[in-house]
Amino acid sequence: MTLRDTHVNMGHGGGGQAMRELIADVFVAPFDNPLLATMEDQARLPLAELAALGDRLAFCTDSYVVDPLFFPGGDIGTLAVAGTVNDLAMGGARPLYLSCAVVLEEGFPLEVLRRIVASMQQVAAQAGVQIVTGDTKVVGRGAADKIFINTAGIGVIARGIDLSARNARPGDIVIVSGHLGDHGAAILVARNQLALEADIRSDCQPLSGLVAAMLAVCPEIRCLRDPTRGGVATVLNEFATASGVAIRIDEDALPLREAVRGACEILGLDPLYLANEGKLLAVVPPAHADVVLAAMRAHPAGVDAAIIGEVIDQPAGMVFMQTGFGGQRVVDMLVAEQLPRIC
Amino acid sequence: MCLGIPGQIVAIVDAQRQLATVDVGGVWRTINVAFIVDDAHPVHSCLGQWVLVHIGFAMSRIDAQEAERTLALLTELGEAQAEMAAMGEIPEIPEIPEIPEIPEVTAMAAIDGNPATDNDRPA
Amino acid sequence: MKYVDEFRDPAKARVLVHAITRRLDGIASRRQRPLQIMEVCGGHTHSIFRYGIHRMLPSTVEFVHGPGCPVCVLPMGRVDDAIALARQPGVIFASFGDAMRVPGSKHSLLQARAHGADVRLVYSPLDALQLARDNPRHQVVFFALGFETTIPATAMTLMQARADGVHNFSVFCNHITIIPTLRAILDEPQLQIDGFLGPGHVSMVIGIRCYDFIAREYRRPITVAGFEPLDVLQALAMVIDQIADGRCEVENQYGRIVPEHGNPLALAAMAEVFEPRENFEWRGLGSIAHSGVRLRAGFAAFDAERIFTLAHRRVADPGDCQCAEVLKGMIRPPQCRLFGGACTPQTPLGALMVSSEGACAAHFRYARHGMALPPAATTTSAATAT
Repeated sequence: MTLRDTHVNMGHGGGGQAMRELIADVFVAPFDNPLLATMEDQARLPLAELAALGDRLAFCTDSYVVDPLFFPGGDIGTLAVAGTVNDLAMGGARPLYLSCAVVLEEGFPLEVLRRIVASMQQVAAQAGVQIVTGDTKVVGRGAADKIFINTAGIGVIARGIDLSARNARPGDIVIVSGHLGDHGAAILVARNQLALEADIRSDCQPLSGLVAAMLAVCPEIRCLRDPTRGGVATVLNEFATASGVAIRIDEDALPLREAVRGACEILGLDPLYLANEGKLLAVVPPAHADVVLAAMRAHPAGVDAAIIGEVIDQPAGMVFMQTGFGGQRVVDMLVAEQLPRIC
Repeated sequence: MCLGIPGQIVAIVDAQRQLATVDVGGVWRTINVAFIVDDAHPVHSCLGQWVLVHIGFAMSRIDAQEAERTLALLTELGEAQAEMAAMGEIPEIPEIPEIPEIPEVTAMAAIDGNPATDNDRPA
Repeated sequence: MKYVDEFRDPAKARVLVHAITRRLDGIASRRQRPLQIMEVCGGHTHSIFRYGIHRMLPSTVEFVHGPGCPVCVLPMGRVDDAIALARQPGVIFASFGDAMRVPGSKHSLLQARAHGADVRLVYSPLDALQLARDNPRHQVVFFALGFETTIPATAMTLMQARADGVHNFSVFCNHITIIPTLRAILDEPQLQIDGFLGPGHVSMVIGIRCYDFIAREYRRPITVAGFEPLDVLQALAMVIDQIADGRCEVENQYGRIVPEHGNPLALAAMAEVFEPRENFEWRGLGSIAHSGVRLRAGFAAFDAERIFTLAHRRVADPGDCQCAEVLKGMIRPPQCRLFGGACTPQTPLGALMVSSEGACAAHFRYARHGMALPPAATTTSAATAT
């Protein structure tokens, strides 16, 4: 049965027939899996199946509030699934099941909601996960900014995999899976406050396949994290602080698209602090660096992977960069959101 | 107010209002070219020109010859240094000098009379 | 990127550092203290730290960070006025990103936005004018700040607003000029500056001849410098050469962008729209005569100070604040008693910590640790002469 309403109204959140029709038509049908189709209040997942895959359950959640909702390379739906899948994958988990809770502003066009859901399903299929439970709320006009999405996810970590920000050791190699700052730059341009035009697309994508390929050749990977808000600089600082080591990166080794660089130059931004939604940073034992790099480059999500630096022991907790110019400077954590500057 | 970046004018958007499109490393923006346009250099002559872009305005035409001259001076200096090194008159150009280990300098230490310098060297 | 990458060439950097070191060695015997070179412009401060230039130089030369950061020298009272404007019903307040986080006596613009003020970030005053065209039922007020680099842009925007009859656009003018600033620095008795790196982009507008008084009256050499790291190093080498040779001249390292007599069209636009103020207050430096500009009578309809009633309160810096001394180059950021403790980029007490190229913010981000970093790793760009 196809919903005939064109816009979300308060009735759709009321718990009654209107809501059931919305859920069935807009969410359950596209997400299309037996667990969700039961339309129970909870998804029931056989423990034995989970236990067969490993010895720990990974569980995470994230909320998505991006503006604009649609941007080159993705939308809030792509982010909502990829982001949670990636948080699981960074722990070495195989992502399996997601929940999806939405808060809709009264008046939100259903056509737009369908597009978002389609994106979510596309990424879910790509990542091999199912969206098995959810919730829908509607708030009055002005009480929410169009749509907020929360996804939570569970996955299973295989025995013997131990990824942690605390694991980095002097001598380890730091690898990034591709170009930096694409998402952050794409959003800036898409918001159009700065009247820039550029062919920059968000890199938003699930990374579970890439992580599986990396762990297959090197189960001893030390740390994995995706540099979302705060960028590469923030994640490297997290590694350095948690592990009590220093990290040195080489500016010339950082993969950067020309247009992202151009946007940063015009606006006075540092690409090390721009968000990435389809990249990961890996800290890898030196003996395995080449093998991991090769495995990454052989995977579609890692074709531009590059070694960008190494872990050393002093000064502990610090990240610094050898500039392309021959100098060195400290790379701090992001204090507050970068704003374009004219000075 | 210092942030200016070189870009190339790739289109004239509105000759009357003196607006053009500048390309900065693959990013495009409409800019005002009023400050680089006069009788000797009408708007159309800006096409292909490299300019210094600041807050939406072209502020200066980049002088290609001057740029080359500046770089050539440095190339010559480097060659001269290399020659003199080869003749043993000056030492080989070293790596950027190693910075000796110094203890952490804090603001308190500075007040105690050991002034910190921005170059992070012992006073 | 053309005209950018060539001026970040590490091989040429090594050549310059070598030349600078040798020249300094040559004069070491006649000096008791390191050479102190002031870079006037905040953009130079940013370049120095961003590229690690401060770590490449021998200890016989030091940079003293000058007050050329128009955000850093904005008095708190003016920030309060800006926030008051932003809070007016029906006002859209447009500002550069640099000013968004500067603290007034209670809030910053960004915090005011969180409390409901309509504050918008713009890259260009032209974008602010477009906001006015797009929002005819609102009053758009543009927060104009910056030195002579930026004044022509505001001027041209106002000329367009007048020509196009855009009546819901006004400018809150906090533009300042560089020459009175330089005089104030040079007149400071405790200062020991041996030479200057002149502001490259200000000079692109005003030319280089206006610095003649520095060489003539104050007997200090000045080399106008570009902003790429090679520009900064080359200008430094040139000013050190002047000092070593005993010369006192105005030199132009940034000839590819800076014409000797500046940009007459930009200067004309400035003159048409703006006139000097008798006095303008600078945070930390007090009132400097003829250092600010305001809109001429012919543009009164676009002058936010005439349209709106502003408090114009003078707000003193917090008692412990030592921004003034840092701005004048008398102490270095780490020597301020609040640096790194009560005053950090996350909790800035003074504007030098808020603005991204304020001396304190730059120092905190890039150089506060004080510790030596491990020696440069051997990379593919190994040391060879060009």
